[in-house]
This record gives sequence, C-alpha cells and structure tokens, in this order.
Amino acid sequence: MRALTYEGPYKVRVTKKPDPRIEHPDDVILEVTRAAICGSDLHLLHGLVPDTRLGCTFGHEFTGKVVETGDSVRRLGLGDRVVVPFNISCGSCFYCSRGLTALCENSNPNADVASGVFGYSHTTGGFEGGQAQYVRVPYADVGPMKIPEDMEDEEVLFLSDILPTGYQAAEMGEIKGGESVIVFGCGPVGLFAMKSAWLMGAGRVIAVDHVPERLAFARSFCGVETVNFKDVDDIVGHLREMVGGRGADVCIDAVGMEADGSKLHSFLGVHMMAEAGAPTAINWSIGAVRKGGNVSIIGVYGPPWNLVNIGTAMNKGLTLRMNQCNVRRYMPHLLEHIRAGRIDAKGIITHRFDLDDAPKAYHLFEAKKDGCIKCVLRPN
Amino acid sequence: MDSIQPPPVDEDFKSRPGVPMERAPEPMPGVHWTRPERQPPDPYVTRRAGLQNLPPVYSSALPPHGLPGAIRRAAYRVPEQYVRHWLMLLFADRVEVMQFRAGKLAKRSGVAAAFGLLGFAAVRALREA
Repeated sequence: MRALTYEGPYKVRVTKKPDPRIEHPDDVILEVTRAAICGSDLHLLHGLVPDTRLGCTFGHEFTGKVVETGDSVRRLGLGDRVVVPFNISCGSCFYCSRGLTALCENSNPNADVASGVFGYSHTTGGFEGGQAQYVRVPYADVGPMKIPEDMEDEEVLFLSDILPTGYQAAEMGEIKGGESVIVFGCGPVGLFAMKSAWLMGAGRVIAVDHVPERLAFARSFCGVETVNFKDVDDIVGHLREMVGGRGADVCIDAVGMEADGSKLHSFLGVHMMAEAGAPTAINWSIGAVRKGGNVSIIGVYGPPWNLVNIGTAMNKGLTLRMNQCNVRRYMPHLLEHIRAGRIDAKGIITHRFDLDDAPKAYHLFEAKKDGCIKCVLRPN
Repeated sequence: MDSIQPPPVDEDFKSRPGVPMERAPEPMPGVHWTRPERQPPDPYVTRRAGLQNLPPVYSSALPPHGLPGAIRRAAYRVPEQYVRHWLMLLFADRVEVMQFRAGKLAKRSGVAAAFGLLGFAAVRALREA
C-alpha cells in the first residue's frame, strides 16, 4: 500500500509499505476513505515527540471501510463505513469502564501517560496511522462508530478527534450559562471549542490568535470577538480589560506546545527543547482568567516538564482541568449536533489532497498559508 | 453553513456526555470479554520499565534496531518519571535521523562517483579510439 512516511524532522514522503494485517482477533482492517492532518501531527513532524521512529505513518483522524475482520469481531462487517476515535481503548479496563478512554491501560506498553493512539509515535504505542491506504484498527467492537447511511464520510470525519476535543475543552471549562470564555488558538480545535461554548450557553466568547485569516474565519464561522495578540502590547491585560477588569470566567488553551507569543518559551521549548514545548498559552490563560475561574487545557503538551506559572494559578484559586479527549463517549451526542445543523463540522475543511500530495499538504498546513484551516487527504 | 452561534441546547450541565467525567464503572458497549484476549507475543516490543506483561493489544510495527534501537531499549529500562528516560528517547530519534541522512548522502555520493568514473572511462575510451 501507499502511506505517508516520516523521514525525520520536517520531512515526510509517500512510500510503499506492507499492507497491515490482523494481529488480534478483535482487529479490523480499514480501507481509508478520508484522513485529516491534525495540528498535533505537526508536533510529530517537527520532531518534538519522543520516540517518533523513522518510517512510521502519521494520522489519527480518519474514516474508512471495513475490508477484513478478526475472528471475534461482532459489531462490524465487511463494507461497513466507520469513523474511528484517535484513542485506542479496550472498553473494559479500570479507566475505560469509567468513561476515561483516553487513559486506557490496555493499549500502550510504552508509557503510562496516555492510551494507545493511531500514528502518534511509540510514546503512544507505535500504532500505524491512517494517512495511508489501509490501517489496522484494534478493539474494533469498542472504538469505531458506524457512519449513518444518509451521511457522508466528511460530515463525520471530525468526530474522530477535533470536534469531541473542542467540545470536551469547553465542557472542562464548566460553562453553566452566561460566562465569559476566552479561547486561545483559532485552529480547528479552538473553533470547535468556541462552537461548543455557545452550545453550553456562554455569554461571550473571545478568540485569540495571530493569523489574520484564522481570526477572520473564527468571526465568520463561530460568531466570536477576536483579538490578534500581535496588535496589542500586553495581551493578558488587554483581555482582562475586555471582560471588565477581573478576567474571564473560563480560559481554554487550544494551542499546545508550539505556541507563538513568547520569545523566551519558543527558544527554550521549541528550538532548544529545554522544556517540552512553549507553555505560552497556559500562562496567558492563567493570567487572563479571573480569580477562582477555570482553565481548560486541551492543547497537547508532552513530558517531562514546562515552565508553567503554577504559583499564580495556586494563589488565584484556579481550577485547572486537562486531558486528551475521551472521544468515544462524545460521538453519538455530537453526531446529533451535526445532523441537526448546529455544527457544520466539514465547514472547516479548506483544502483536499490526494495521498500522494500529503507532503505538500503538511507544508501548507504548517505554514498556515492560503487560508488553510484544515487539510483532508483522500487516500483511495 | 449552520447558524453561526448555535443555540444553547447543552446548557443543562448534567446532560453533557462528559459529566461526570469519571462515571461509575461499567463495561462500554461492544465489550464481550472480561479481559481482552492476548495478542500473540512478538519477538521484541519495547515496554516501559515496571510493566510485567504486554497489554492485550500492541503494535508490532518498527521494532528497535541498530544504534538508535539500543538507545531506545536502554531508555525503556529507565522509569518514565526520570527526565533521562525522555532525553534518551529524543537522543535516539536524533541519532536515527543522522544515520538515515548520512546513509542517503553516502548512497548519493556513491552513485555520483560511479557515474563520474563511468563518464571518465567513456571520455578516455573515445579519445583513444
């Protein structure tokens, strides 16, 4: 099969690889119909995630058609179209049985920090990703969700990650109605966090970024106020003033480890790797939220440490909530939002590419050029 | 496109899918095992320090090999709460990239040298003819 292949920092290529095979009786093999490039794939591309081995295939947001099933698979049959959560979860361990599928202890032998994840380095289990013609999906009776016959793959593709992730980000903010919410980052997860904040009854939503096209997209797609942090001297002070001086009730970090905005942290975290990426958006969140407020961290950070302003968080009495998204539990609920037209998930797709053009797609996406918000690959 | 600001249909805190985040324990739909069947053992799969058995499902892709593989094996003997575990993994990644790029360069240089020699021999042969 053809698959995207990692060849070192900033270098991916499409090469021929052996087809995946059934390795466990509850596996299925999917012919991938759509695979998206996620912002967190860029952390892999930039060599920031430990144990990213040469030759691995990225891709944790995909839909596909079942072409082979293991002996004990009961819920899926040949030809079924499915959307697959990025977490690989057994459904029965201590964590999965409590709904915390992102913490599954039965899918990742390499680290205790997270469950197995498709195409996201050996730190999350070394499973091959979906930016390929075919992919192996373990625990097929638990994770994948059948795509309703009346819906297209692209309509539900983002149930695999970014839509539930954005929703959980807003949910962790504990919005109950009328709150002011600041979302750092106008990438796909940030956009869906904004939409979700409205769904939960936020009174005001403010988006922060530095890419003018993304800010404009956030205004038109989500109906939010926007701030370009490069246009103000003191972003934290500016945001606090915007919401009346105390700070926002909720701040959401939808940026993660490659944040712009602090030369110190970009130097230490991204260029020198002396900390695990730049925690700029966390620190801005801690600064811009009111005392006693909630900070929700959904942007991806890795071990071992970051220079986070924890003393301020402690003294302000903040609630910090964070996690990878427990995708599976959100899928049915968000499918209904898509079906009802409350969320136009595929409306954020700005570019589509054939698999062979995946390296071009990566470079366009990382440069945020040509108004690129979300790239989708068509592997077959 | 949908309405830009969707209506607050999820305002009821308790009706949200992630509330409470940690539920009372119950197997998820689709589970038909008490404990998942074990994937047949693989010759070598890296695993974190202290993990006695591989999980029921794992990836057998890209087993460690060569010098970066040796560094990775050593790194996985160090528990993940130690910074050196992560630094060794990052170091192994860089070593692997350097090896790969040096190999490519050597291959290209070898091919270029071979073509150079062939060209030189051809020119010489033509001159002698």
